[in-house]
Amino acid sequence: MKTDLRTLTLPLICLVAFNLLPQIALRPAWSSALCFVFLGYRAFLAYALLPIPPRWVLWLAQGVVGVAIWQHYNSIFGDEAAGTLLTLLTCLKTYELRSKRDFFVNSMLCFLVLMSNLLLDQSLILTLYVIADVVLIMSFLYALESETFSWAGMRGYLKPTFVLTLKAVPILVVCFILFPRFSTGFGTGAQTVGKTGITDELKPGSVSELINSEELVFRAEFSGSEMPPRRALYWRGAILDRSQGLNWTREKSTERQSPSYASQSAASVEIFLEPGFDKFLFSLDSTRTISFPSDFNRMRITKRPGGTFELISPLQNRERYNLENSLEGEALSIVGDLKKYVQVSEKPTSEMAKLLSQLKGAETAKTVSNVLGHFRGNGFEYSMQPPAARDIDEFIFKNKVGFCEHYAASTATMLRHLGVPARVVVGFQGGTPSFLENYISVRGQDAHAWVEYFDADGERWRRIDPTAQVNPARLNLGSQSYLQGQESWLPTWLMDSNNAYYRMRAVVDEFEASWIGFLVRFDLARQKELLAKFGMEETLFRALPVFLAMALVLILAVLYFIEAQRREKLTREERIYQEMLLTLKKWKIERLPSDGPLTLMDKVRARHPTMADQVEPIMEGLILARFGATQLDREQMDSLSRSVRNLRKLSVR
Amino acid sequence: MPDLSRWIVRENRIYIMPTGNGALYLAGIVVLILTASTYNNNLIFILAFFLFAVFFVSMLQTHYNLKGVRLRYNGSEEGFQGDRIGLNAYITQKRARTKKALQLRTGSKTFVTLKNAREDLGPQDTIKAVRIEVRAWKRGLHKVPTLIVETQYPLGLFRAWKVFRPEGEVVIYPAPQSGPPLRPRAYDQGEQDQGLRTSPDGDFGELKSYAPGESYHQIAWKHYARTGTLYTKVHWGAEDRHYAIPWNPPQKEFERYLELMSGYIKQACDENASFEMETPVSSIQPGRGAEHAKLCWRALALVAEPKGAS
Repeated sequence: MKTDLRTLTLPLICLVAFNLLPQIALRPAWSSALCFVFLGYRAFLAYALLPIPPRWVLWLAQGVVGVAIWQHYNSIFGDEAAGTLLTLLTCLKTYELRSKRDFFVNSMLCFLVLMSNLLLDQSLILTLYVIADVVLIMSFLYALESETFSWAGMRGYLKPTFVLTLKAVPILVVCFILFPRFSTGFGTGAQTVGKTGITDELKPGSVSELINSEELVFRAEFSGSEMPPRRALYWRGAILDRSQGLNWTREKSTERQSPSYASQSAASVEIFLEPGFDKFLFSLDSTRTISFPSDFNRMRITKRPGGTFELISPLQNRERYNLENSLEGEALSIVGDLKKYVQVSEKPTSEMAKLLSQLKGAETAKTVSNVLGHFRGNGFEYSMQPPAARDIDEFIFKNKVGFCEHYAASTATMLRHLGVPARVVVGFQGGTPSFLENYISVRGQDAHAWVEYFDADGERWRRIDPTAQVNPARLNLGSQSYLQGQESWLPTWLMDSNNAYYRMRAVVDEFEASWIGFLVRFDLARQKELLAKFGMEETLFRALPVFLAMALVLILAVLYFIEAQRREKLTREERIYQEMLLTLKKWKIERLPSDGPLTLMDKVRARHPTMADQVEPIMEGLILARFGATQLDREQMDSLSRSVRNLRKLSVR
Repeated sequence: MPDLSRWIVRENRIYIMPTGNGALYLAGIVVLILTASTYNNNLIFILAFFLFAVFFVSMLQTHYNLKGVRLRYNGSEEGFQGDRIGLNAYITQKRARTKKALQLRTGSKTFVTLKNAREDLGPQDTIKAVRIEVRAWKRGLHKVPTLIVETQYPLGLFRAWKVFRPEGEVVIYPAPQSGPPLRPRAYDQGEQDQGLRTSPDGDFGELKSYAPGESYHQIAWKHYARTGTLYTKVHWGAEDRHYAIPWNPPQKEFERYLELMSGYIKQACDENASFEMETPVSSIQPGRGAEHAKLCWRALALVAEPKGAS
């Protein structure tokens, strides 16, 4: 076998390039571009059989990369910085492929790059990609062991890797279940990349820029209770209590209150929150408290005045938490300091004052319904791209076109002018039910803003949604329906395909949700729970490594047994030859390992001269089949096989 | 005293250890598991466990790749110390199995493996001839080195090996060295002296049929290309030479002297002169040709080093 390590260079570069694909979405653009420049030039060198640059150029490049990382992240040790650095260095490593070990190290680096990707994203699509990538890297290691590579022989590397992968699966499962989870005690200090999400500030445009995003924010699973109608689902993120006309912000609160703990009630909602969307923990009106399964985050929950929850700092990993709900709107019954909710930054203009005096009712409820009624029938419109409004007057009297943030902000400000305590709530409304309707996915496009006012008679806050006055469909069908409505000038078939797209997205999302659900849920507690089901007691938990080792030994034995039972596939002529050898054995012709067909022929002649005439054509046929220039056709093979069988039937003295 | 290593490392047993690459791979898995624990990231756990599972299965496959493989030693070439010497063997298996990337090397310090054979066995290959090239730095009559059949198939994470200790000997001649020129001694004027002499120094005379053992330098290659028959060129007019290689090794540089003698033999053989030689254990009668030279070299290889020699 001729071996040549150089034939492995191009495949390795392709492998590294394939490994980098998810980076394009996850890493800064300059680093991805740099990676592909490095790899492209290296591939060119390999293809043109040019020498690689001297070592000092490589060192220089490594230095430049380090400086660039430092410039970008101000560190080289953070998760992000280290991941990007690792990626770039893996690309540069392709410039020093001297020995077999270098190739091996480079493919190991590919695994680490893969790991750094998984830190940033764990979606289903990345998981599928990881599987493909791992199989390719393994195939490369396989080719590396044979020290030569040919593109035509790809199947020869992939097939054994598939077999290897299949055999590896039971071990993977056993390890996953039995490997004792432990904490390394290292914090995960670095910040993840901020995604667009709701903030604790509302101004014209802040919600409508979210509405185009399909990015998943969280999934909500309703256990033990039926899923409420979508129009009733107002996911409260933050309460904004400082009015500046159309702009609303919230007071900096130093108040830090840990939520009280109740035993897990039957009717709860499980939320799987995606990382990177600030620190808000979305909850419903009815939420009494929330609980976190992970100790780390439980300590970091803060309850804000008004009954919303958030973390001290944004979430690093996908996490789940439970909403403990009660039937009464618990969150809305917290009264708080009402004086703060009637403050306004400036006095109303004369035009506004005139309008307000018209809207003022005898009691709070009347006032509120008057204000909401004003948006109905006075030429107000709902739009994704409303004209810019500098202040509340411009919106109310001139433009009359706005998005939810315009309506919510102006309604709350007007109520305050009228002496009704009011506040703006930002969060999400509704969500998309999953394909199987067992959970709801809330995406960027479901972002919403609405108003809560204080009802002095009921001694509680009440929710109103001014946007619903203008665009009722927004609540029933979600913003998505509105977006579709906007595209109604499109041809029907495209609308249909658009629907098909949403349906397909729901199916994919379903798979993804169950995958994510599994991944996020499996922690130390779940591990204990699962093992308890198999009858393992808590006290035995410390002996997990022993069980793991035992299970591995057992699997080893089984696999070894399977390997020993495996029959090699023989070609047709080899099978016929085997049969011929058995015949000769029956004739008591001794065969040495080195005896070929010709030698055996001689032995037959010596021992059974009468049979020689019949054996000779078979042996010649077999020699021709194995070493002949052309392959024998089916018929010739059949006739060979037949004559051997006939020969076996003959009895020989 | 029984040879301890022989007792510990038995013939035809399969031994298996992770390679350097395998250790690196394990280190990678440890990094993955630490990261996964730190970030509580189950997907990285799965990746780590998958890599470990592959490590585990590949151990099995490496081990199995060597199971049932045996080695039969099939003699060696003779040669000078420092030269490439071929060792021949057969790799055999009884059951119909595919065995991939089997490598053969020696397991001794005396014989350095220069080129290890890399062979695959198909299900039909019950026997396959392999040849490795080794280099020995010490002249003498050596035992056949321990032969090791090893494999790193499929991923190079593990190395499985089997040790074979074939019976037999390998003769390594002292390396020929040039030294002070040895003066040829003219033959006694006897019946041979017909004025017909063969020496590359003389003028070309005639062709005679090639006899095995004669120097290759004297073969008439052009003639061979035309006719397909081997002839030896006979030269006229040069002196017929005879060398008597003396035995008087200095006490200090004993080995050096043996190498010098080896060089004289080579010189005589190349010149197609006749030569005789004498060692403390044997005395070799005059003769010529490659076979005769081999006889002498073998005698030199067997000379025991005197006590106290450096």
